Amino acid sequence: MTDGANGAKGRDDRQKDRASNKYAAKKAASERLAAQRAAQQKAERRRNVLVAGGSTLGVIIVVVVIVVVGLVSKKSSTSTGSGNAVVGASSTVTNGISTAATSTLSQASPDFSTVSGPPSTITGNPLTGSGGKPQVLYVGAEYCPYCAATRWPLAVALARFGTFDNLKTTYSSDTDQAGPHTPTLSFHGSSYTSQYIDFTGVEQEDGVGKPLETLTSAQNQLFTSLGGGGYPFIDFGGKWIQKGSAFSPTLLKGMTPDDVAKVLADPNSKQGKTVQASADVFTAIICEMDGGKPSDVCTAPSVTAAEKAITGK
Amino acid sequence: MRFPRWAPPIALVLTLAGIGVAIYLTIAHYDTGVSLVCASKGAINCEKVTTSAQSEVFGIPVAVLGLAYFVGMLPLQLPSAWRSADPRIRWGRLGYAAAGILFVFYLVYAEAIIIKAICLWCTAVHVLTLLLFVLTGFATALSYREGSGHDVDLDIDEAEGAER
Repeated sequence: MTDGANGAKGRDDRQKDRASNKYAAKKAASERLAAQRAAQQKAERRRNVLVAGGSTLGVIIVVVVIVVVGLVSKKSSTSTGSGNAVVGASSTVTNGISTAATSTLSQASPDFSTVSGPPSTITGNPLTGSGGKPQVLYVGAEYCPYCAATRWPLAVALARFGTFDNLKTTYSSDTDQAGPHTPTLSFHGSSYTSQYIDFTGVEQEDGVGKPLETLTSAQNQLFTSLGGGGYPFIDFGGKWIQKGSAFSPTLLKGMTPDDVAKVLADPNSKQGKTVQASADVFTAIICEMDGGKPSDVCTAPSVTAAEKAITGK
Repeated sequence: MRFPRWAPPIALVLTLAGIGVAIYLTIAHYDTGVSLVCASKGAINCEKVTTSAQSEVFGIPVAVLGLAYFVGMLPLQLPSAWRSADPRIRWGRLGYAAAGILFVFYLVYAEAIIIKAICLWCTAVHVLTLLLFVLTGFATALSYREGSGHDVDLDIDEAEGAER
């Protein structure tokens, strides 16, 4: 091998070494770059996870604070509130119920679209009173706005089968936004007599949610199993039940019990029409449970129309 | 876009559950013959909440708004949306989830402070919205672009090309 050939080989080797070194340097730089980027990404992700965790914690804290403030304010309003006065029903109220019970029966086409619920049929043992008569069991509370609305048509319907004594009037809770200060009756302390049916009206709590009357174990069983423990609950002889309001309590907003009583028999009043329609539905159900007595009530046009509306018969 | 694999399936289940509950609440709102399976006594009172003045916002039932929210969330939680590198989708999904939480704040406030009653079905919707927000937040935090790793590979390829 000549000196020239050896020189050329040496140059080639040096070039290869330089290329190899250059590649190694680039590879090392790329790896450093990748490591830096990976570290940056990791740090960024860690920061993002901390932000997400902090946001979650913040959201949970806000929700808990709102709920705690709500519970505390409810407790204080319940413990300091005295509720609305419960007074004996005026003659305007008792006369208004009696008049509505009789005068509205002849109306052939009540507007049943305003009736909430409506009651549904159940199967089970018949519910009877001590004398063996079919019983209507009502469970509610004086603070409850849905009960406040429902008592009016129930009282009108029951007045078609018997008579009340010592009915009271009051208002639902002023702070219950579903229908604050809704004028109503209270069945607490009242009595009802009828030759056809029994009626038991239990107001479990007063106007501020304090215990007022207690249910028997049998009544409580019906209330919780069929009514789900919600106010108001009405069991019509173990055949039908009404869960919840008969109509929206806001319909009676701004009225007094006397105001409501005055429009009960007025077919041109929005409130009167609504209470009548619901009373007719309750009446039709009571007629079903007591065998259609008295016939003048159970065959009245408004009652047969209600029966058709709820049963399709 | 690389994202946690668990995110889309869990988010879709939560979203579909939200749609289901919202449909139930919407039906109960419009059909008076359907009452919610829920107590209506004391602090737990669905009827009191769903018939309150706060059950509508600008005349639109809250149940309908909830349904619209979850239906709108559905495409954002699909795997294809998670794969997308489009920042509008990524941040839009997070913003949408955050908007839901803000509305939940108002609804919890309305229930606890104004109405003073809790609706269990509404609470179920609130919890689903909260879980979607948490999931979306964490999954977004753990997501990253694949681009940077690809750049490193290109550097190495270029170095190898220079050698040849």
